[in-house]
Amino acid sequence: MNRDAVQSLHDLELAALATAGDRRAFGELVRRHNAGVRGVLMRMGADPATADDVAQDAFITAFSRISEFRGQGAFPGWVKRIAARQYLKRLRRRAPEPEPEAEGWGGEGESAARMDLDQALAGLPETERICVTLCYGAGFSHSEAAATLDLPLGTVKSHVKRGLDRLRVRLGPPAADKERAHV
Amino acid sequence: MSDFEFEARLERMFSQPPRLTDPGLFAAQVQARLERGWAFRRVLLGAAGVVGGVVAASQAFSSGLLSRLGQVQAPVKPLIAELRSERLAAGNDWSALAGSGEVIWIAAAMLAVTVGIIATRLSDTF
Repeated sequence: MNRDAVQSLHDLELAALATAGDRRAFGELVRRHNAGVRGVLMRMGADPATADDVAQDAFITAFSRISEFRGQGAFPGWVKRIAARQYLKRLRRRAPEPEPEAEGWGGEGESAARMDLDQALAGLPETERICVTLCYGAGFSHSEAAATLDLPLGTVKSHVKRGLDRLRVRLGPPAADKERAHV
Repeated sequence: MSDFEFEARLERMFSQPPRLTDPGLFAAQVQARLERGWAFRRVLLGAAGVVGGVVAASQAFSSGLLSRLGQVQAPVKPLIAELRSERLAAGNDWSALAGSGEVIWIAAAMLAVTVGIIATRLSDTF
C-alpha cells in the first residue's frame, strides 16, 4: 500500500492494519495524533523534552498493545490515556518537590485579559493542573482520575473545581461575549 | 456563562493541540524506534536459528552419525534399498528406526532451525 493510500484511511482502518503488524499504518497514526498526545503531557506540566520522551514511549506501548484497542473510543483518546498514566508514573518516581504557589494568581485584575489555555494552565498548582487536564484533555472521568492519581474521589473533584474556577477567571469571557459587552 | 458552557468551551480548547514545530520529526523518531525493535527481533530469531543449527550439528557429531554413515554407505547400499522397501511395505513404523533417540534430537534441532527461518521471513514481510 502506498503512502497516499495510507493517508486516506480512517483511524480505525489504520489501527486494524497496525494490529496485523503494519508499522507504516501505525506511523500514519503517530503522524496524525502526536501533537495532541504531546499537548496533553505539556498541559499536565511536562517540559517539551519530557513530553516527547513520554509520548514516544506511549506510542511504542500503544503499538505493542494495539490488539487491545477495540475502537470503542477514538484512537488519540486511547493513546492520551496511556501517555497520561506513563507521565504520572514518571512523576511519582521523581523526588518530591514543594508545590509552587499558583503563578501570577491575581484574581479580578486578570479577568479582563483573555489568556491562552496553556498560559492559564501554567499558572495552576501542579495537582489542579493535572486533575483538570486528565478530565478535560485526556478524557478521564473523575473516578478514573482518582484511581490513577491514587487520591480520594472527593479530593479530585475539589481540585478540578478549584482549577476550573481559576481558569474561568484567567481565561475571561469568550471573544464573542466580550464583543457583545462592548456594544 | 454557565458552568456547562464553560466546560464545553474548555473541552474545545483542550481539543486544539498546542502548535508544535516538528510533528513529522517526532513521527519519524517513533517509526525508527519501531524499526529498531523489529530489527532486534530479527537478530534474536536468527540467533535462535543458528543456535538450533549448532545443537543439531553437535548432536550429529557426538552420536558418530557421519562416521557410521560412511562405513555403511558403499557395501550395504543394496541392503539399505532392500530394507527401505521392506519398511515401506510394513507401513512406516518409525519407532523401529535405528538410534531413534538421536533421530529425535536431530529432528528437533532441524525443526528449531526451520521455525527460526520462517519467523525471520514473516517478520520481514510484516
